[in-house]
Amino acid sequence: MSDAGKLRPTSDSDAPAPLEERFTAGDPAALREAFDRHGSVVYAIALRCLGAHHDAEDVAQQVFVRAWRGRATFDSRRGPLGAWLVGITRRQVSERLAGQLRDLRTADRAGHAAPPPDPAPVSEQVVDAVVVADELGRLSPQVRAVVRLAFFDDLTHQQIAAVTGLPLGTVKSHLRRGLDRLRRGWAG
Amino acid sequence: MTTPHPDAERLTLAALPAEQSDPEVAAHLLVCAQCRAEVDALHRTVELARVDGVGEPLPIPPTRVWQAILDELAGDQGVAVARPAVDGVAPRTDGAGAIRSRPEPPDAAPPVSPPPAPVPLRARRWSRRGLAGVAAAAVVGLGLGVGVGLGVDGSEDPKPTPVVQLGPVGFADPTATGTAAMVDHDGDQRMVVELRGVTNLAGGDYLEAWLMDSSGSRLLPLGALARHGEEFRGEFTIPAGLPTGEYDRVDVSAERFDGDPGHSTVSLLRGDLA
Repeated sequence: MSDAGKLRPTSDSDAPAPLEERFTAGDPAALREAFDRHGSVVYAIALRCLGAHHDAEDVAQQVFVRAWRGRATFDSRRGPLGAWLVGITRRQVSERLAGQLRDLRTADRAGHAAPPPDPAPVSEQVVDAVVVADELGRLSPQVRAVVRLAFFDDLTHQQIAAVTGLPLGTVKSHLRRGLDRLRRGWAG
Repeated sequence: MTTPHPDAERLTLAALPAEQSDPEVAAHLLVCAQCRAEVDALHRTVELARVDGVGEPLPIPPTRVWQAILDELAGDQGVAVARPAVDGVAPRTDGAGAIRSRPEPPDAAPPVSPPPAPVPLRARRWSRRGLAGVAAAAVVGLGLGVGVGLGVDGSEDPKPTPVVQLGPVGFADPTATGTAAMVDHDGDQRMVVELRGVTNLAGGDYLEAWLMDSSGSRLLPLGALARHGEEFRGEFTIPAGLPTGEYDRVDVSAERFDGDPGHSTVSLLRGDLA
């Protein structure tokens, strides 16, 4: 797209690069910042995959503990911190699911349980949907409001302009800008 | 391309659920794969956002999760963890620092385990005796450069020459990196497998090295890797008589002490020898 460049958001809430540097350097405050910034994505993925709050909390804990202990190996050239944490989350969740399956099979062999389900892989769709939901929450309030009206209230851009009082051109550019940012959240 | 690309805003509208179809854009999409891919990606984005219907904010992990992280890290060597100042609520990132690293005197242990000194071959302890009888090594047939620098640094131990970089498998452990190298040890061919940056191994699990064919259907267990912090190392004798040209892939898997001698299917790293 020849005009993709000019539509790229320049401000919004892009995480400042220094967090990743400070995290790798072992600045303890950076762990808290990473938890505040990415904790809900990690927790939400775990919760949607595992169902139980208790398991999701365990996974979130393990993800940040492992990330911190392995921070020397985080390489920002291979992707942002958030994506790295999501990768660790997927692995933790799939291990947890595999463990549950093993438990079920053991119980099954003992004759106590229904046949276990197949292990559910960590679904791409679950992960992507969480990432998109996270990005949606990070849009500037006006862009987010416009996008929400289009997504969840099924309004056309003309209706959105009428409802919000924003000029039609502004609505269209907000839609473009918001959607572009959400797309980059899951599609890179 | 007979028609110019519609601008980005019109393509965006084409991906939104309530908008009326724009005939010009629709006609263009029929003939332009580039714009079609753009609209598809945007449409997919809308679908992802609507997965749970209403776009509610993501749940916030409870405070006790952060507390549990602090508690677990409190035991780490070289990292001192201060309890949150007030009421179980951890301090924010204002420099008060929920976790306090010690100052950095040159001799102090860094927070992460230091790079390992040469390590003893404790890995052999776990190797599968039942397969140990298979005899020694079609190493050249494996396509390995047997670059052996015996005693390069004056030590007795041969210095392995990295020949194969191991790459991560999927998202199993995106931080892990590793090498597999051949060394000649008193006439035996040994494979030295080393991993760094393993951050995603569940407590109690261990890593095991394998040789496999490219389809993954033939497997030869080499043995477990010894752990030193986040680094792992194992040195394994390559059995002789190994069919040349098969078993040309090194695989490292996460394994559990579950009595199952097979591969767990959870591969962290792989590299092709040939």
